[in-house]
Amino acid sequence: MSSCAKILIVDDDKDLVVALRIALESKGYQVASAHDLPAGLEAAAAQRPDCIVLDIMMPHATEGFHFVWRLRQQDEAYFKNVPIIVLSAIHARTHLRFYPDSSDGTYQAGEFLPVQDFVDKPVDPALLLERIDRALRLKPPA
Amino acid sequence: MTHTGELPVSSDLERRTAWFIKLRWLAAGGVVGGAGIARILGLSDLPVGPILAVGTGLFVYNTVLYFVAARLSVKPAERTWGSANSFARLLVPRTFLGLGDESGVARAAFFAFVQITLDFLFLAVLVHLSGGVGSPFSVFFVFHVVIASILLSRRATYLQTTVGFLLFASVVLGEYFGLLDHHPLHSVWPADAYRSFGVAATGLVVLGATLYLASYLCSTIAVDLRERVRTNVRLSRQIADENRKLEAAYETLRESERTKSQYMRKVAHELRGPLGTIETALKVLLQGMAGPLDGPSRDLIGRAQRRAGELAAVTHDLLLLARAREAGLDEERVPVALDGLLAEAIEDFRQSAQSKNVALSADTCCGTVVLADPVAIRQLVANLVENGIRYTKPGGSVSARLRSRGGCVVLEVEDTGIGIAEGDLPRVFDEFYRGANAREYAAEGTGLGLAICKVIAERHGGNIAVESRPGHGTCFAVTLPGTS
Repeated sequence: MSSCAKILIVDDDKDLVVALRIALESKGYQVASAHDLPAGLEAAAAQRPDCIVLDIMMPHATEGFHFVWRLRQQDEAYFKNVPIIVLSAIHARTHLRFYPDSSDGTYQAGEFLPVQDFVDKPVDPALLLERIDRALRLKPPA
Repeated sequence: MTHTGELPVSSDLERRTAWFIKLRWLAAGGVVGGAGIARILGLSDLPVGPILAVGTGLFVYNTVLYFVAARLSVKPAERTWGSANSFARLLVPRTFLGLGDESGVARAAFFAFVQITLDFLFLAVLVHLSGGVGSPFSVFFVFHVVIASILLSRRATYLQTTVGFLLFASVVLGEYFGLLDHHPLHSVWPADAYRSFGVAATGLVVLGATLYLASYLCSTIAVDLRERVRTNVRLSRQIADENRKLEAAYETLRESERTKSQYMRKVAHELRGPLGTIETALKVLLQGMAGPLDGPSRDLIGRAQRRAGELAAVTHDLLLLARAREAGLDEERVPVALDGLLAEAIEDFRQSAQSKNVALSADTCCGTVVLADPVAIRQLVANLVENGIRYTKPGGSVSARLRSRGGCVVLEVEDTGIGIAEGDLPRVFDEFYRGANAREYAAEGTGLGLAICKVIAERHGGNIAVESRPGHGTCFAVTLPGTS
């Protein structure tokens, strides 16, 4: 799948977005970006990316969590299924969890996952590319 | 009771005065009961009516004193008791002065003086009604002298003794000269003995000598005891003062520690974002994603990326340290199964151990549970295992084990690594401290990992200890309180 797939990066760190854009474009991905929650939701609706790379801590604290929640709340199947890779391991270090939390915030095998993967910061571009590739391969057919 | 000091000596006096009032109930009961019984048994010709009146009078005025004492004990003394009322001040034992409770002490002493004087009056009447110079009740004058020496100053004790003696002398001489009626104790004394000069003089001399001797002996002992009380009060106050100072200093220190931690956390947090972006950007360059990178450019970017990585590691550890320090003792603790947690940590490091050819094993059979913050404990375990792998040469081993000991859980992580020099051992848990051989053997390492372990262990009410033989290996032992 890889090349030509469209990736949306939602992160308020514009320099990081530039670095990631260069990395993704070098592998043939089309890249769109947004720097906060409303712009991210708007870009997701307008551009229908194949995968979303999302930061958690944005200008208004944990906007990433709200982004996921609001995206997945929409009725259309696309919004429920588009793979999301979170640029954080905040769930492993703190008590912050994706809302709604089904149990204690640890997702079990077979359980509905609001997001598909986590890549901790500082982001290793090679690792991110590997995870994007995997997410796109595992993505259910539209 | 006054509250000008931690140990108001007036309360001591008041307590004794209350005890004095209690004794008086017995005395009044004894007078009334004794007169009644004596009359029923026909033991004497004493005037029962007047003696009953004395006993009843004792009851009445003791009731009044009881309420006055209760009222005084809840009402702080006015300043005048200490400064303006020089007579009251004269009554106070010298050792009780200068302890910051003068008004209360002066008032309590004055109250005691009034009581003893009243008692003497009643006692003199009783003596007069029960045989004058031959009255067995004259012995009771001694009790009051003893009580006065306990409660009052030495001068006041002699004054009180003199008052008592003069009252007794008035009765004896009054009867001798016929100014007062004589109520003889037929059964004990010859009817006209009170008219004998020898008897009167002997009675006066014996009782006078007894009273003054008793007041001298008792007040001497009392002065000594009070001096000790005074020393104790002074010492207690000094200790309390020192305690307060220490507590204040400790609070200041804790506050500054807290501020330091918060500052450290904020700085580390602010540094982490930009540092991460720098690392990612350099990696994009190094991985050739922004175009080919060769020669000196690749070398320089590689060095920059490595240094940025070191900085990021320090920032990361500083954040962990600050978080561990700031985690309150009241934070929610949950039961954590240490064996499962240790097995997971070992799995996390399996690959890095294998790639370094270090054998990694865990003995997790004992099913130990602690009340803990699982994220922090996982960090502690990870730091120790990572440390062990880092300082162990290929072919060596790192083993972790859990055991219970006296209600505690002990986690040991032992390696066959380079060891720690004896001189470095006391400082290995200090922030940023790395032994010379550690720095030489492994360039990476922030010097914060063990400091984090120590903070986490102590935050959980436990501790961490280390044993090491340079060249042979090191063993860290974390002791945590177990759950009952």
